Amino acid sequence: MSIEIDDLADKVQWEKGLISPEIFIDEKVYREELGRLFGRAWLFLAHDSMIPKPGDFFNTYMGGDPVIVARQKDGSVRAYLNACRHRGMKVCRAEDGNARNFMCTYHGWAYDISGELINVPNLADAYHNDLDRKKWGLVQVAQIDNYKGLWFATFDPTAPPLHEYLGDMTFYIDSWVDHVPGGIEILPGVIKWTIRGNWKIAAEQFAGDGYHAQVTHSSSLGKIGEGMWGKMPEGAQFSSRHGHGHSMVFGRVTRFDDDPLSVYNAERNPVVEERLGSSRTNMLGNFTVFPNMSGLPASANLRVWHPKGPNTFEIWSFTVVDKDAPEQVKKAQQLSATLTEGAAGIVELDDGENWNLMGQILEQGYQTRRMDWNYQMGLGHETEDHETYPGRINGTYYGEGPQRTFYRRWLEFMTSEKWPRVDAVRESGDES
Amino acid sequence: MTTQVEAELTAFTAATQELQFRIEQFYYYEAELLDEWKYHAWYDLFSTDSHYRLPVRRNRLRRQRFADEAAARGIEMAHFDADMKTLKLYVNQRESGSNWAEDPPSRTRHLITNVRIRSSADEAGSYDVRSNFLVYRNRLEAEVDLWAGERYDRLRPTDDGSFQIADRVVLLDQNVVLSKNLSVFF
Ligand code: FES
Ligand SMILES: [Fe+2]
Repeated sequence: MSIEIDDLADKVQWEKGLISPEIFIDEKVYREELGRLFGRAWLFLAHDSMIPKPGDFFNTYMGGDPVIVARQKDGSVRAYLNACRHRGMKVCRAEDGNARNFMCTYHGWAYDISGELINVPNLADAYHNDLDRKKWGLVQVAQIDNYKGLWFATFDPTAPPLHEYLGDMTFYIDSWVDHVPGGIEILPGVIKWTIRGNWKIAAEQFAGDGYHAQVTHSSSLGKIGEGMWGKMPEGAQFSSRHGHGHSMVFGRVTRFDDDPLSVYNAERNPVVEERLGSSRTNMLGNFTVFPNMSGLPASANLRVWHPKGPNTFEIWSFTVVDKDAPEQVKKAQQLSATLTEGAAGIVELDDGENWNLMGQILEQGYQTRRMDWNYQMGLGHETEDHETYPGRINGTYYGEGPQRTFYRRWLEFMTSEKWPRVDAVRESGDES
Repeated sequence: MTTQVEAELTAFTAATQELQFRIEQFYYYEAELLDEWKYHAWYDLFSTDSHYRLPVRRNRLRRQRFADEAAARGIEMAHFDADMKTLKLYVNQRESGSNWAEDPPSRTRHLITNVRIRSSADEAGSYDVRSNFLVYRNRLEAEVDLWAGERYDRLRPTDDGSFQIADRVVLLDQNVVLSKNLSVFF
């Protein structure tokens, strides 16, 4: 059984709140996704602070492909495939570090930090000098840009500029990157772990699923003040036509109320309020920048869901701190995030249990693949013109509007031959 | 030249043999508590000033790697970085009745080997002990995880002839953690 692209609109009836789980397990859908979605969308690579000096690099992935992101001598940032042009071997196997060049360990072709091919063994005697090194540099991304220090890239030269791609999501991103004059940095140490499930399950959850926390996380959040079964915290949800989602509640932006971090944040509030207004002060919750970057402002957490096959993904989890915060505040943030997030985090470990078993059922099942999933929470209760918040807004913290929007956008990427510009899709009236 | 190997081997006496035996028995007892889900009893093996840390293992070039992987590297994200007040939160969670990742509980086996004991240079009367572990987890119907690694402990003798864990650093031999979570203790 394999799904054709033409069938996808039947599998993703976002406007009715019906999604077929076949899109989470089908091998062909996954293969198409690597090209049509991950080959075109702007994808998060790294933050400025992770590669401060010339030669600093960070090894990551764009969809299924390994990509090096590296600081250049002139301070700019480049990103290129970590795959040698000779036989496709990885040219760099360290996850991060500082390098002047990368020598492929297969036959020794060497590339400088900009990706240019600078040395080929036996160029004269074996190649008879018939090799134009200029043509055989590492494959560069088509476009690279940053939003306030967050670097993104796309492999599609026809993709619109990053700012347009992020759209109304920047209003919400500002609440955790531009809330203080000094901005943010990422703490050293990326927590990486493996889920046997589909990456979209995690991305949609972070876009809009505050609903799961009271039950999934009752043994952790229930113990540190946020959990109350059956009682919905006050908040709202944002859905972007560009596929992004943000679910917000307002309150304490730290997990604990008795550490240097919470004292610091309380003192910081007037500064945030002056910069962003009260509508974005003490904003917490969960978000997804389409397609696979997510975060939790209350845990100062940022992560990428890296696809590793239809039924496997890796979580790469980063911790954000205010760059100018005192050392003991950064330490408190590190300790708090270590406790709650990550593979061992008391909050996060219960998510893995759900996602793995959902994946196992789909891997083995036939009937379970034919059963539509229900995405109908809050259907028909959203408004397009909120007085304070841009985007499509649901007036409660629980809802599945951001998830429906995520799959609407996903479907557009999967079914259109050209880059699916939001205005073009709208004009043609082709919204399903 | 008397090699370092010879020096280390001849340092063993009847006294060290007995100490080796007692410390190994302590570790087997600890493993039993973990494998029988007696988390509070396990927690009580730690001294109140203890610390439990499980750093992230990094893939770095040989020339840029860390000389001592168990040493603290300042403010850096870790899988665990817990004083005893914090470790208590983990232990309470396991026994909460709603920690779904461990309910129904996993079956685990903690195998402890390669126990190497040195008198602690930093804390008189205590021992700095390194041991290797292999932990097998079997969960629900057919889930299996295997973790190997090394523990760096500070063991402090107690009045009743046993020990307290006064510090523990766990080096887990994985970069990307290969399991869906780390809901076990090492
Ligand atoms: S594959 Fe890189 S030099 Fe041959
Ligand atoms: Fe969760």
